[in-house]
Amino acid sequence: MKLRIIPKLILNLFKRPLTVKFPAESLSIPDDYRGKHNFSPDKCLGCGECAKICPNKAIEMVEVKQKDGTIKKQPKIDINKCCFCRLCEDVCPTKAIHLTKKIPFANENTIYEKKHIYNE
Amino acid sequence: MKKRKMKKDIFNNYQEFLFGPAHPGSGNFSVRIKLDGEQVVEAKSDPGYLHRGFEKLMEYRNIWQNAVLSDRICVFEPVAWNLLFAEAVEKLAEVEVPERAKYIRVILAELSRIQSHLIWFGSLSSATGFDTGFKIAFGYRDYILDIFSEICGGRVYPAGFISPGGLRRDLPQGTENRILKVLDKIKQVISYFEKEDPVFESRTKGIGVLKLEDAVKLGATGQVLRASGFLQDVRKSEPYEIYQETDFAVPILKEGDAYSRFKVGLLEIEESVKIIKQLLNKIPSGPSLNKKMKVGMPFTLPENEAYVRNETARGEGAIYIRGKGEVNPDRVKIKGPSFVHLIPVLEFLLKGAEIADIPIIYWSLNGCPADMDR
Repeated sequence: MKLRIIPKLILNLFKRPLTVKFPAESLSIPDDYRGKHNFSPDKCLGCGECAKICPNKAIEMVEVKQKDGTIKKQPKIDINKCCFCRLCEDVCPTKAIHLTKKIPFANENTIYEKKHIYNE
Repeated sequence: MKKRKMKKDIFNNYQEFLFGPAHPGSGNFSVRIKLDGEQVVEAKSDPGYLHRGFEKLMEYRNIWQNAVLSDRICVFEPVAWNLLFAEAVEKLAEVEVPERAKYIRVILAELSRIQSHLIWFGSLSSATGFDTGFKIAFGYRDYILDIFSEICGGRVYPAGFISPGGLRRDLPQGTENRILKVLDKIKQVISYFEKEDPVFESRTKGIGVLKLEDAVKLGATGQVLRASGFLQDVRKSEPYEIYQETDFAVPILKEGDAYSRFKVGLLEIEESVKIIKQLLNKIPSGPSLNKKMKVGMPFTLPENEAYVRNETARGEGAIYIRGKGEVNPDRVKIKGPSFVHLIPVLEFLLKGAEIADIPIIYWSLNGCPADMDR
């Protein structure tokens, strides 16, 4: 019984570990992953559908001053409340919001200071 | 007379303790146990640590928001509950589901059953002190989670991917081949668990025996009932989605002990692999979502009621839904399979058991405190 283990042990010495050294390299993330939001203000119509459907009420419509001086309504996303369900992306008529592959939150300010994505 | 009383007091001095909710082998659930030496005299389930009030929360949300919420009913098999909620809404509002969506739904449900069983085997082997089994099961489960993250966008929670009327997104290209590769990996795990391990067998054989009469009387479902020798499966008796067109067997055993429950689960994984392989070749082309049921479209639930039951990995799960002619449902009732297994069945099996067998009996029932407390 014991002898049977030895060849496997030797083989395992030359195997690569399954884990990766995270910040330097990471596992491949699929394209359709529900990660951090990407919001493009130019496409947004300000209809507020995303704020209506958000199950956690993480989206709030706020008035934002544009470059030409007009005031336009835009969604403000609170990442702390978000459950990453992608309903806001599916409901958006112009695809102004979409969820990206970005997932590492721990080393960014988003979690502790409520910094919102469109201010970055 | 006084002497007799003294004796009685000594003999009745049972020791009481709690199994859980912080015990590593009991997830967020506790059992109050009365011990006489090494033997359990009385056991009482003490649920409620994971109550989140889903039934009330669902009365304040529309169907798409509820589909997202329905994942969280059971942590170990969110896809199955997602499917159940979607089916309940479809039955209530008489919504048609495209054929393609039905095939993909069944494939996802069966993958979810396999990964749920792997969690079960992992925790059962850690309960017997066999930690290698725990690591093997959880390691191989991640291959299925990778598939989920590719299709649904998240490893564990699909977040309403199976929405009323079909699926929110289509299958990404080339997923079928990747699923087949994962099924090969699952065959490897089955071969690991099929190896006869004398330690595991001696710890599970003849322990927690649930006879057929008791199983029926206490209302057990799923593999707990099938391990006692009763053939019952909702996929066969009341086929939903595309199950009537698939060819699979329902494994049953007669012993009714912890080992046969584990063995039934192992045979079920093989059947699930068979179902997925059959369906992968036959997925029809076409839309995967009913055009009238796109996210955010105006939709009201009619004044009617519907009751839908499914065979989830743990047993028979069901959802009752009642509409009132508004966007939100009037009442939603969730029936989790673990409610029966973790209260009457567990209390019955623990009576007379030894203290060292408590985790094994608990985990052999494949309970999930999350779907019991809701």
